Amino acid sequence: MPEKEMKFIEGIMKEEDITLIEPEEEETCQKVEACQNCGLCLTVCPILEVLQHESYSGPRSITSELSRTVREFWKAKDIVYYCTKCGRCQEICSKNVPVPKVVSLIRSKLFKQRRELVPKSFEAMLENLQKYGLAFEPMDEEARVESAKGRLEILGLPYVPDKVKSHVEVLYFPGCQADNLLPEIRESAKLVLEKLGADYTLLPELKCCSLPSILMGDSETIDKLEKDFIEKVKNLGVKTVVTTCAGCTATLEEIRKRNNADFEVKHIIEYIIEDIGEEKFKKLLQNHPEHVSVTIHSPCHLDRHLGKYTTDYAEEILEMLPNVGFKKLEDPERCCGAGGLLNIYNPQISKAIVKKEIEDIQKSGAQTVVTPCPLCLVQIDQALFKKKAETGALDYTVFLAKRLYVA
Amino acid sequence: MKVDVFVIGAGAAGLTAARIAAEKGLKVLVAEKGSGATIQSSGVIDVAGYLPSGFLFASASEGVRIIARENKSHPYSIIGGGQETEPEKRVKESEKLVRKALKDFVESMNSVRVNFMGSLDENVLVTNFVGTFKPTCLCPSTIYNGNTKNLDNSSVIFVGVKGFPDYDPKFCAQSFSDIAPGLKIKPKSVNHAYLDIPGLEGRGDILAIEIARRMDDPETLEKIGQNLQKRIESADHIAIPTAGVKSPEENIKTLAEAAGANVFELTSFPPSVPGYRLVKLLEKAAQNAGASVRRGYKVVGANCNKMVKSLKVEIGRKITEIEADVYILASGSFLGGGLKEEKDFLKESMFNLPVYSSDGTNLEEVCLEKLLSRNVFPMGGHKLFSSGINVNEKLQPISDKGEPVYGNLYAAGSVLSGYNYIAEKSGMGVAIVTGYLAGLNASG
Repeated sequence: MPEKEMKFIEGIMKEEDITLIEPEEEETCQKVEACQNCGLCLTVCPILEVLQHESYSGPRSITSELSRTVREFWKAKDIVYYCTKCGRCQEICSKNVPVPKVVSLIRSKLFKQRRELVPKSFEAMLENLQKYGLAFEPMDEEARVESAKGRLEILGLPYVPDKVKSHVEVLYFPGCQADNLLPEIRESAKLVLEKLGADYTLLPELKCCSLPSILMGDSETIDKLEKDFIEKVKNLGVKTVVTTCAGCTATLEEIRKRNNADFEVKHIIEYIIEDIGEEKFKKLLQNHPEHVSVTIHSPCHLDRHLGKYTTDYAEEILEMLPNVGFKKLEDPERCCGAGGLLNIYNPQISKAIVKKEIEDIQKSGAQTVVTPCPLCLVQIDQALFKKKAETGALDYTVFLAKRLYVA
Repeated sequence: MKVDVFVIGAGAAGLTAARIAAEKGLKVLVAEKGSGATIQSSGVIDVAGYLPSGFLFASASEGVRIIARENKSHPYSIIGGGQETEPEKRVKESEKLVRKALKDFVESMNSVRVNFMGSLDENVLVTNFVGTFKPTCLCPSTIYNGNTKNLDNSSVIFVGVKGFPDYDPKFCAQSFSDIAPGLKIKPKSVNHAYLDIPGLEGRGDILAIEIARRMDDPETLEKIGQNLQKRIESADHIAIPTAGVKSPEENIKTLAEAAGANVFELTSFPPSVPGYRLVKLLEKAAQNAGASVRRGYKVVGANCNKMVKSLKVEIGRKITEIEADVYILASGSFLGGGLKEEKDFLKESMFNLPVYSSDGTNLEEVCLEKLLSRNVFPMGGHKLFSSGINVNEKLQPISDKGEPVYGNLYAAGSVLSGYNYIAEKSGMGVAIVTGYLAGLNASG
């Protein structure tokens, strides 16, 4: 195209805030065209379930934003943060339109070009991620260990020191929440891995998996964290990255795929079933004096982002544990409402969503609800506490540690 | 993983088969890859509406009898014993089975607290969004109330929602008035009106499911009732686009009391709320019987010799092998993904079974284009839509020689050849009846 015309077009594009779609985004955008506007997604969207009377018209309107004119396109800001990334819309869609991916795409476009439209409530976490590469401000190491020991004592579990070494089979990746807010998860994972006889290490310096940055649309930080992770894992030479967080597992798996990397990413549930195996795992189990009935909350990032087999695995393990009764939820696919940063963007809606899950959990009659995701756990635990419910909530890995270490 | 019965597909055929097998105490897994055709269907049970020539059956049972006598390769003939059986016996057996399967269906719907009204001995005409009608024999009471016989000698108002593009009540009323004389009914008056739905005012591009969701909210429903009362002075019948997702029967009752008239739902083209409700009900009934319905399980390959030994199932990022004693192929046709086009030829997606057109031609060497007519609405429909796999009277897929391809594989629903559900209005009937029989056969 002649230079003069090209310049003119570029000028208009700049004026109107038009950017071309990147080649790697093209596939996602093309899939949007398949949307038949049937509205099945509206029947499963957790946000719509609690937002009956609002004019927000659900996942299908998010996909249709992409096909609008530029000025309309920025209106997406009003709806694109109303998403927990649960993925139920994509699952029910007969055309498999990747709505969660579209949400990420629009959020990153907003971040890049219309920074002022990104919710202000994200700022604190955004700053932490840019400054430390972590979702939360890092704690002083001594204080961290102290807090971890305190939590373990309450749970009646022993403390084992961290192991950091290279050329081992397994890297345990706790993620920001288990490293900071919920240290008992990180410690329990160590205990479980010890019991399983795994040759494992922790990272010398943990950085975030990048999920919160993806949810904010901060591409620069995403790239930085991705490079850091790939390099660290390559240097350590591990075969398997084991996590205890659903969000980390799904995000690191995406990173692994993009980089065509030569290791596996598994949630500890997958590690137990696939690498340890039923037979060996059963031998490690001893009778536990306390009977407990348990139900599972399946996190969206395992059940749908990785696949339903994860929920099957989680149930299989529970069924192997002595003196544990398993109770199924009526709708085992319900979202807790915390994902997609909705818990920060609009806590009110986020809490309204979890209310429905709490009702289901209580109806199941289980004494304890376990979930293999720290984000879901906090959301459910707080809601149960607020309702003064008798049902307790525990992280899946912490529950496992409790059943594997009989006092 | 190992189960007794593995059902591929969670539409009307698959879910019926799964329920029947689970009721016999078997461990049943239903693999559902996404949403198929049943969810897009009208949600009413058409068993036999027309002959391909356009002849309208007075009743579904008459239709089944005529089809079973005249069309040897139709599923209704095959379930009655197939080509080898004497026509009289075939007709008798087929009708017996159709009655049994649909009685069982209605009971299963009752068990999940939904009333299906109608009978196999009378086809009724239900009105749709464009004011025309279609023959059907069983439908939810919310739709049945609006069958054309009920509308005779009375005043009818078609009520629409501004901003809902699928349904224009003015057009609907006009075309209904035009068609009524042909149906030998004389409505006293046919009018139209628009209704405000709280929460949707001023919106465009509204979907039926959005209206339905508002209907399910008690406060909104009350306001809709008040609006109806205000807008409509007097009418015997009020037609609304949808009555809700969760509690349509109760919602209709509430609206009828508010308006002082009979209120009914229209049937629609996809996306249809009654179709969505039907799938959810079938799913619930199957689950209540003990079947496990798993969404996100996509069958990507099969391990077979003379029997199907196991299936490769893609579950998210993992491919797992699942074994079963018996497999039921209820993968649908084009919308469901059971049949696919591959380099201009029609193929069966899961097992690469031979595919036939309704006249029995093996389509291995017939280009797909030949199965389409130049005429958009050809007499008897396009051949493509009655193509599929051939089965024996046990519903086992068969080869050119008529032998079962795999000893432990059964098939049901629109993957079968020999019928054109679009032209005949027989889709749900065939799906439920063959699903029922496949479920029985799978249980031994």
